[in-house]
Amino acid sequence: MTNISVFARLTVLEAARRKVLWALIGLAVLIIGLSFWGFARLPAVHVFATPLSAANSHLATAQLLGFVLFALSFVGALGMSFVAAPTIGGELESGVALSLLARPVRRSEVLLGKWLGLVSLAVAYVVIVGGAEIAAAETGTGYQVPNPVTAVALLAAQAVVLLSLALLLSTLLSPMAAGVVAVGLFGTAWVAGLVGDIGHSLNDPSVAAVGTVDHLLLPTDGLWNGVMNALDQTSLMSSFSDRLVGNPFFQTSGLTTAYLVWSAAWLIGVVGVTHLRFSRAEL
Amino acid sequence: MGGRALAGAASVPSRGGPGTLSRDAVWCSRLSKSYGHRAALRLVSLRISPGEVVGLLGPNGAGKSTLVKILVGLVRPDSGEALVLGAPAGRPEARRDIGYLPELFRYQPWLSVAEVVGLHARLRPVPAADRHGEVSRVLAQARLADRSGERVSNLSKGLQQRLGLAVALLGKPRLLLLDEPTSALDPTGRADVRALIDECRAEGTTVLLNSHMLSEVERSCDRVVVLDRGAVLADGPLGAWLDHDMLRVRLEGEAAPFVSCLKRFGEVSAHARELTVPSLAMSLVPDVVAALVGAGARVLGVEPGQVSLEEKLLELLARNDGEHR
Repeated sequence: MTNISVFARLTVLEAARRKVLWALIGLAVLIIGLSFWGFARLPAVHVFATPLSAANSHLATAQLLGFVLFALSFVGALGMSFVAAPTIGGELESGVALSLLARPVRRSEVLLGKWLGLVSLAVAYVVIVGGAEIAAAETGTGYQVPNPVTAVALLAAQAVVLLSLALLLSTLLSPMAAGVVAVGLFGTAWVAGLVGDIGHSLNDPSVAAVGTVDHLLLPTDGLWNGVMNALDQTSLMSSFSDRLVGNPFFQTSGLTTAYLVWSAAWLIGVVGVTHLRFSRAEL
Repeated sequence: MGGRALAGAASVPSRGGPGTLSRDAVWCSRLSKSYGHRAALRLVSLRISPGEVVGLLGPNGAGKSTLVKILVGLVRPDSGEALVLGAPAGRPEARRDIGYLPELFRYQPWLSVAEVVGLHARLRPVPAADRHGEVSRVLAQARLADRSGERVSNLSKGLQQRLGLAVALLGKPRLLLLDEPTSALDPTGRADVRALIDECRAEGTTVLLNSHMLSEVERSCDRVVVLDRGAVLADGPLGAWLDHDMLRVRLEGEAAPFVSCLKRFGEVSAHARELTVPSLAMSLVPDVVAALVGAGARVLGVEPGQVSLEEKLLELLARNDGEHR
């Protein structure tokens, strides 16, 4: 077993022993259970004594699915931020790192191991929870998500971006501050993305630019738009396009390759800076 | 700066040939480190031979822990060079055969005692086939065998320090760096640490003991290095500190007038009714008494003794304080 895998396993074990994993699973089960109940009741909904049309039912399902996945990604973001934030800063602050870094291990191995441990936690959470949620929507309403694999993959990428940011912040700030700032930036990015969407719907380039800059600075909301696009059926979008302008849970355009490349470069850059900070940290 | 060398003390390290360097367990030359405007280390040079047990002494903030952290690679010096077991300090190769007990000993509270030791055994690295036996050995050595399943969070501070010792002793390191190893231990624990150091000495392990417990240093170390204000103040064999025979003479009246009659016996000091004659061979005691009586003093008592490490250290630090004022 390499040193990297030792630290990756240690990170997963810590999340389990500190009950973060169980808290995330508990919250996810609660959200999935409640949303499945809602999805199952959706086909029976009547508006003015008239049952919902299939198109309207699908529209409501797509909107609800987007909202629930956002709630799940927010729970995941909170969990990942508060697991990632103390993983380096906390060990430096408490002194746990003193005896570990005195071993013949490279700091890059410690960092990469911890990062991989966090990534595996985030990906497992998103795949299980996102997959279950999409399955719940399909089972309850018959709505077919057009690109479920893309949706889950982009949701996982969003989680990885956020945990990498939290890891970087943990080398700059105290563990508590790093967690708070990471979640705060996640929320701010979502709001700024929303402002950009409103700018697009109003054809106001200066307001729309807020979203563009936001997506470049922190790709969480940009990737989230990709998730939305992967969840929405094209036929549904064209039928209701006039009613969906500026709606944050619908996205007409998918992510470009250039944006995916930028997101990957952003991720590599952040992990690189984290390594630089961690390798220079003195204890 | 090699510091004030005592009788028989190690000389200022010179670079010498590569063969000479690789033979030293620790070799540092002109190490300096500052935190902001405060100098933690100033041109510290030090050489520790394999198998030596060296005590690192000095007041709080003298730079002892910084020096140890530089050797382990946790802190980078601003200037100077350090080699540990022949490899540049900070490189993984230099940490391959080191056991380190930090002053601030903290271990993952969510792991059990055996899991912490097992983790360090992997990182040490102890070969997989020997790992279980090695973990059991060090846990027994640190008297933690019956606590191996307990979570670290449930251990007292003293037991956590024992855990730190177990971790440091893993894989029988060639160099053991102990930073205040008994700060949280009870008298039995302190005796255990002394016994462990004796065992290490017998096995040829080099030990650098950073401790404020001077009695421990007195009992365990071959050599003492004193740091003050970030610089080496003294460096020499423990014997050079402790083998100073001295004589205290109590007189009936003021002692100061009789200092001059004892000039030929060395630097005699007077305090109230007592004269102190340092570094005096016991065979000369009758001559001292005869000189005093000859000068008209009435001698009430003569007490031969030794300068303790504490007295010597305090004297040295006071003198250095005076020089810096």
